[in-house]
Amino acid sequence: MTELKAHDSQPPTVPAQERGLSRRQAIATGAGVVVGCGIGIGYNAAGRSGNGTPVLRPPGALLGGEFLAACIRCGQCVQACPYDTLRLMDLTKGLQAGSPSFIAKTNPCWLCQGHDSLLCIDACPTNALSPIKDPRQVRIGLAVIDESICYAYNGTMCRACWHACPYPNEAIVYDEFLRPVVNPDVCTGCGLCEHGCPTETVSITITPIETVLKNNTREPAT
Amino acid sequence: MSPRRTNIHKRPWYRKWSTFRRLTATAFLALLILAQFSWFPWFKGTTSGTRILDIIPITDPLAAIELLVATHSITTTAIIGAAILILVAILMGPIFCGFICPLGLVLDLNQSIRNLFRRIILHKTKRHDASNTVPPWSRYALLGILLGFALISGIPLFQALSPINLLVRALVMGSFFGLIVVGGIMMLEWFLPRVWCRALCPLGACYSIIGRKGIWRVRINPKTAGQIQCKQCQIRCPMGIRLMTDYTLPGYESISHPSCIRCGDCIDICPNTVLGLRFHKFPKDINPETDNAVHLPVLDTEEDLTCGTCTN
Repeated sequence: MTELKAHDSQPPTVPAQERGLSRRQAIATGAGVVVGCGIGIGYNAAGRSGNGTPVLRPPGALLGGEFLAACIRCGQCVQACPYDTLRLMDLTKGLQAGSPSFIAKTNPCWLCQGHDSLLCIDACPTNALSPIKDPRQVRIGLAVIDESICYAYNGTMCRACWHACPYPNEAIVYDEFLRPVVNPDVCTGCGLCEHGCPTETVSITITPIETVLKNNTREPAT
Repeated sequence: MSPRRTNIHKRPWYRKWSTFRRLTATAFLALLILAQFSWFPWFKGTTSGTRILDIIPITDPLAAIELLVATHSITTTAIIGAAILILVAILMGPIFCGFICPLGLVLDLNQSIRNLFRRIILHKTKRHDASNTVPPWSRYALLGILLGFALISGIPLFQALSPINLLVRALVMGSFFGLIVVGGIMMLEWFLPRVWCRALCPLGACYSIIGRKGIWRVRINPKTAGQIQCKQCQIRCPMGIRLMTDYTLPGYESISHPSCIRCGDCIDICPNTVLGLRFHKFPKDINPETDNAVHLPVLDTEEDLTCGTCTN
């Protein structure tokens, strides 16, 4: 072995291991962008299958793909929620993984009652939850009553959803037979009614706003 | 007279940088985990976005870039948060990888267990370094793929599926499915050491690009460089940098390789205090007649040595 010695002469300007490295990195990044665009086009053509079925998002959430684009999955909304409502979706939900959602039956959105503002929106660093100050403007979804199993529609006196609703007599009103009717102009979709519904199979459920809008565009309200 | 030999015994008994680095990464992870409890409201979020003391936003630069590419807009919070980390990275290089990254911590410990296992159970002292076969530019290709995908489909893929976020979300938010991916990488690294950091991590690639001119880097002391030639630094380097043959011996002033994550493993193992993580150059007032005249043993070996082998 020839004994190497440091500082015998001036070293070459670029260390041997870095020769051509910047060029290779630039080529790799560029090629990657091209491949990524190709995958993206394929993904769009396949109908954005990874976006999944609509779920209940936190208050102020952008719609569908826009929300998934703006959400950086940091989980700060989950930590900010004072009622422990929000959960991050796990890996089984594909590309939705890490985005916040909640299940109204187990723990609905309490619209930060008793707080000055909606805390998840305050926590969001990217405006994936658009800044809404008034809880009345929240549109998470729309409550839909299944009249075949609802107690009130089947002859039993029941006011559970009306009592649970944060805007009783506005979002849920009674008709002349004292049956609850949802007013879609006021209903925030918070899910408190679903949470409070006493029937074995819940008879008032929240449809995510995305589904509601999609159905509305397909069959315009008469 | 052997003035250099005194250096050999100057090192502390513990591995200074790797201890410090594991402590900082553990502290970061502990703060994130503590934030679950209501009595600790000062450190919210996960690795992709954090809020310190309720005011200071910290945003992963790659998350901010993906946000910009995917939505064609960006918020002030995200800009401020990313700017903090980008400034630190411009000054100090990919220091996140070495000192903060929770996945880096896990993979580092995984690697220590693997090496102990190989040494004690399998009696293999030669370090098997198969990940040199993985091209080091592949993580840049992955970074490009992520950005291209985000541009067309509008989905920040890395924020959803990155093992770093999956690990933190499992520990902080309790979505444990992500641990399958982390476990898979840990198993893979028993065969390809540190393959995630070296060849796959797009976030590391992003930090490497930002921090390639970082001035806080591993610098070479010309007074002691090339005396022992034990090659331990380049055998240990988790990023596969050939420190001795390509940097120390040709007489470079610092390790300028963009992959260097400032982990300090090379400094901890060096028996002759050749390397140091610092902002300024080592003073170059060497007298070639006397300084390089000290002939310490030259060890040309691939063996995984323990400290003191060279002098015994």
